[in-house]
Amino acid sequence: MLERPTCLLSIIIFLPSVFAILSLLLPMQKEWIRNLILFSSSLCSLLLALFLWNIFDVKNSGFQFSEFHEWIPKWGIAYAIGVDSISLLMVLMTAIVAFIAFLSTSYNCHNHDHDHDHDHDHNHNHPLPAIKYASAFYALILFLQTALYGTFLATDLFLFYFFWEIALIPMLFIIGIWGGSKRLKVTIKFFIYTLFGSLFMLIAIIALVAIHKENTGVLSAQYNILKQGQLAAYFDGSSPMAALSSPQLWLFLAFTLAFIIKIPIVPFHTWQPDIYEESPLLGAIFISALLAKMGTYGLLRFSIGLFAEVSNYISPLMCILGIVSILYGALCAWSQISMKRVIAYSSISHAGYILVGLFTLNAIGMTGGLYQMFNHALLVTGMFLMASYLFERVHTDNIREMGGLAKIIPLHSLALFILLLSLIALPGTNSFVGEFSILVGTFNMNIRMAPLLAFFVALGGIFSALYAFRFYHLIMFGAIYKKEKHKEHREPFLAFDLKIKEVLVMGIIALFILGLGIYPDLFFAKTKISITTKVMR
Amino acid sequence: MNAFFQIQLLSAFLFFVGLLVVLLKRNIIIVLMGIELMLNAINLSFVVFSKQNYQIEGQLGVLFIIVIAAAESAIGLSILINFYRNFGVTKTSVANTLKG
Amino acid sequence: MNELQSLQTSLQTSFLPFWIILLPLIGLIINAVITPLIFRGVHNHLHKTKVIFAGSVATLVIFISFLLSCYAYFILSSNSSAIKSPSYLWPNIDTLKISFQLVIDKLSIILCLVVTAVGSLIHLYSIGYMGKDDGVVRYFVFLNLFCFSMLLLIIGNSLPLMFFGWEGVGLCSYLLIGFWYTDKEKLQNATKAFIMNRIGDIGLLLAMVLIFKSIGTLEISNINQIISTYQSTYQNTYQNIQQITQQTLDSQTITIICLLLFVGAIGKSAQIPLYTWLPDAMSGPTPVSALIHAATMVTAGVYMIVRFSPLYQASPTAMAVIATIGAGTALFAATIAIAQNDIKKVLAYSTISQLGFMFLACGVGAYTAAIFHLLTHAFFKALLFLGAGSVIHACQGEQDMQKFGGLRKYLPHTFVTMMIGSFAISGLPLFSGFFSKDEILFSVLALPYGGSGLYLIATITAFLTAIYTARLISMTFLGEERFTVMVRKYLHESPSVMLVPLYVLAFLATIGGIFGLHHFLVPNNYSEIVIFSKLPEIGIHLPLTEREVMISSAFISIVGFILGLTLFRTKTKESKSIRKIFKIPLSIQRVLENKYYVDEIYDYILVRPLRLFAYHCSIFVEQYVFDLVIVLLQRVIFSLGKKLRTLQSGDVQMYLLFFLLGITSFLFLALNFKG
Repeated sequence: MLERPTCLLSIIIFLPSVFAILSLLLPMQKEWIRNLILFSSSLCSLLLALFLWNIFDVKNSGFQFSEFHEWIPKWGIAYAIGVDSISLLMVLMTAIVAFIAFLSTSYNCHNHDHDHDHDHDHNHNHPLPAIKYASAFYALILFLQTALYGTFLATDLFLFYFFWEIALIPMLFIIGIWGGSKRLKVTIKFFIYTLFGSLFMLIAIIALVAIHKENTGVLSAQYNILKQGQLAAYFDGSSPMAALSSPQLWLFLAFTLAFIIKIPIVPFHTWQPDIYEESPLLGAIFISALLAKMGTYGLLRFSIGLFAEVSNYISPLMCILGIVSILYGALCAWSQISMKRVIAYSSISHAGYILVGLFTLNAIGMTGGLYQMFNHALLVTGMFLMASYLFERVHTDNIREMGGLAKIIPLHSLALFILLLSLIALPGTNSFVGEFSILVGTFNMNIRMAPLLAFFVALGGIFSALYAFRFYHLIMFGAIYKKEKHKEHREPFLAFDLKIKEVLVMGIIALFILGLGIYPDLFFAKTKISITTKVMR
Repeated sequence: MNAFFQIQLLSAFLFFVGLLVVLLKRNIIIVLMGIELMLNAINLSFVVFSKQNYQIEGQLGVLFIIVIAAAESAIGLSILINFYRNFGVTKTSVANTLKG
Repeated sequence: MNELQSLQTSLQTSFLPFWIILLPLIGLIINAVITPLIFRGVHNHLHKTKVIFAGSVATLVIFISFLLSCYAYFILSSNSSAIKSPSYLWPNIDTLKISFQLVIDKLSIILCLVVTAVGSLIHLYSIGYMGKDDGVVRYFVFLNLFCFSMLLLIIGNSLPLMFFGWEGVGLCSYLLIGFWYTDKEKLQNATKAFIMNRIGDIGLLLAMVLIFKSIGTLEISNINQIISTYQSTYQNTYQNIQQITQQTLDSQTITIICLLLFVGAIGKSAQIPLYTWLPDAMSGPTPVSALIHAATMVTAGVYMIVRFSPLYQASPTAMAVIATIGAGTALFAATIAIAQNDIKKVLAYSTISQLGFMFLACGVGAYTAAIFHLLTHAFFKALLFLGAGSVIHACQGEQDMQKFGGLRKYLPHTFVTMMIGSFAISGLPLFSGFFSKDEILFSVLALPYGGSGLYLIATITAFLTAIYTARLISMTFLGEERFTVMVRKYLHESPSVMLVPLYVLAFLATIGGIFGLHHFLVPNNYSEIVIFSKLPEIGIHLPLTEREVMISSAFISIVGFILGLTLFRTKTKESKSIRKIFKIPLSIQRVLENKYYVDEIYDYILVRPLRLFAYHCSIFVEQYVFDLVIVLLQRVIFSLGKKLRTLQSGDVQMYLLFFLLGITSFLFLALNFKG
């Protein structure tokens, strides 16, 4: 086989940037050039990720393929990247989601404003909407990919923070320029809210490096080195007052705040539904499937990884927070009118599951949380694609105005149904594997209220079924005709069923959902090693 | 207090008068005159220092300042002409387009 | 241990269980993929061909499954005790190991036979019943999916596998109840069924998790083995168990596990308090009601409890709870069934009542009797439902019994078969229901876990069963004709494809008594998979002997049946309401007719507040609670900025002043801090 290439990870990180620059430089009159660049970029990323997957050594639980270059030695910052099995799953997830998203990219790059008035009397195949400055759009998306890969692969804390912040900038532009009608206000809120959390994380990183320097005399922001630091001495969990005065708790809280705002988790979630509603399709996919997982990845790697004692102490609280997210997100999703807001609140609900899973602090629960990260990324990609296809057909985001579509677009309804099965975690779908592991992990926690927590986690299954079925019934079932208030007679929908490309994309997602439900090890075999060793600490 | 100090005091006084003119007067021409006053007060101060410390550099400084002041008043007056052309008056209060 | 060792050799490993499950899956894939391709863009003249093709494929695969199950039956009854499939280890997560293995033992083969036999008959029936429907291919796909899930539930050997089938049948139930999806009410009923199922599933999930924590494994055979050895040899194995699990396995834990499992069974098998979905599930097509909500899916709860009988034998508390709820539900549902006017709702409540009987049998320890009753109930209930479907089909979709009457003349075959079915369910002597019900009644009386109180309730319920079934027959087939002229014009007997299953089921309902399973499911027969503990000793001091019980129950059922037939037979055009017959006040009749208003109570206490809460969360809480800090912050910063803006007055001289002040202070500070 090929010998292990040493800069594979850097190539993975920076390849999308290369393609981005290419897309900015090449002539953009021909749409096929642009599509070709996008497709080849996502294909290359996917192939590289799969290659990495293949040659990853399952027995080794540390960081592999690491690279180390001094960057700012005066502050102990280096360009250090490496992959362990958790990062591996995240990289693979990013590659797959980007691939699927780019496959469907000719459609709906432009979020339809509500002031468009499409005639529905004629022409099923209205021409695809074109977007302005398309090359800039795709370049921004590719830069975003670089930032994502960088976040998942960085082993230097400051490098992680660097890529974390860089991911925000393309997002700002993508939503701010190509978004819906209320985009500016919403983008600013998102940007500032997230930045607020990240600021605390920066302070915590600096403090961490300083404390470490004080303790051991080594100035470094490397994850491995900091992990072995003497932070344990700084946490006293004997009483709440002592806990509150120990620095480890505050560092943990600073990190966790940044991640929780990003995911998002109740109560820091109010930026999210508006953003999901106003994003263009690709932006929505990236922010919900990938940027959110940056937050959960950060929780796993840094909050739990670096601060084990505090995690132990505070895990019941975090589990309760996760449960509140699950139930509150599901309840809110039950009452929403806009398709995208339903998806937004259901994302909050699923993020709650992941949070609970991660903070069970045993191998089964944490593995379940990791699985759910991947599953949810796929699921929400599919949901946003579905929402955008539906919008193309019926030109409205309001699910109360739809109805009876299953008769007209049966393939569509089948695809949406499979997605909803994954949402409610029916056995046989990938979500069930994750959620069941999370449930087992919750019950196995060594605290007194573990059964109560497990009860509430199981209760989430009911609420998610409630909103999922309402969603499906209002869109696909019921009376066929479109309800228009100001017209005397009612007009039927003239919606066309899924096209070949859409079938392909949805088919891939459905295959993942059902296939991973039956054989999870297809993707998850190599990801378990780091979690089990992490927990054994 | 000796004579040098008294002249320094005069120079400072002239400087502050010029400053007040610049800050408080409403006519731009008067403001320009105030700037000239400030510059000349500094000139006086330089000369006195040169005399006080037995060095010639102060007076060289005065030469520099006189030249620069001349150039600066030329530019200032052309700006004033342009200002008058744009706004029609030479009041300072009409130049408020940077108002937030 | 010797018995177990000798039995090891008689266990077979083969792919037979795989094929039994795989066949419905193949049928479903063919109907989902190939049939639409073949009949693309079909018009009316090819519709019939499509129906016959799809229906035949679906029926054939189930029938072949049935044949394979018969083959398995013969293997089992001859020498071996179980047929195992090869085991595939699902990927494990740390200590959570789940294996994919299918096991057919003597308990599961009975249910397999029931599901496949009744299933193939109902598939055949559906070809006629659903023949004119547009979505008929989809219907057969869902039916096959259901059979696949049900079989997986039955023969899966690990709890998650059983849960796979459990949720799968719940899903199919939802899909089939809401089959005609343009009607909002049917959709609501479908959602209700699924949600109530899921509420029960919380119990099942928690039970699984608790089992994993305390027993350490999720394989059903291992669980039963551990529990039964725990029971018999307390000392030695108890220490072994303690080593591998994190929680001590004491009787309290076992009781909690049993109760949680029972919660799951309550949801699936429609007992109090999670039964209200079953009558509403009647909005699905009638063959669906026959298969899913009478014969098979709802019995999954009973099956699960019998499966875990070693667990339940170790927990008398749980058994008492089961018996009480079973008996209570049986009586409760029977009282409602008397007052219902919709023919399918009568049968639905009848199903709930009979399921209560089965749970009562489990609760007193008579597991064999429960399974026997499950078997006979599948026959006669499916028969009754299919017959009702025949009547509905003939009357152009009319379901209200007050608009039937005197149909005996027009639907002779249906009448005969339904009479046989009603004899069976009432427990008239020598029909199948008589034997199974009698066994339950005797066990309730005789076993130490039972008692006279439960026996009394069961007997009253049996009496009511006879009455309401006879009422159904009388109002539908006998007496004066009460249907409209339009219906009269199109009244015809069902086609033979619908009548054949009726007659087959009638035959089975008649002779079903000979399947008395004592020869098969002998309690002493220790199989590795299902270990029926020795049934407790029959109490010596009994109020009645077995013969007396048999005679009295026969007497009660005959009396009840004749009473029901005569009381409700009409000589005039108006049907008789129970108020007039039993001289009860109108209010009580209303209460019974409206199912004790339980649905409305649930609606007002649970559903509406939750909905309101969700609505308020999404509008009020979102805007004013979580966003509050953000909005306040924004307002503060904005007003601060507004005030600071006045500094930017546009006056250059003001700027100069600030500039000077700044420079001065800077110089001041710099000069002062120089040292």
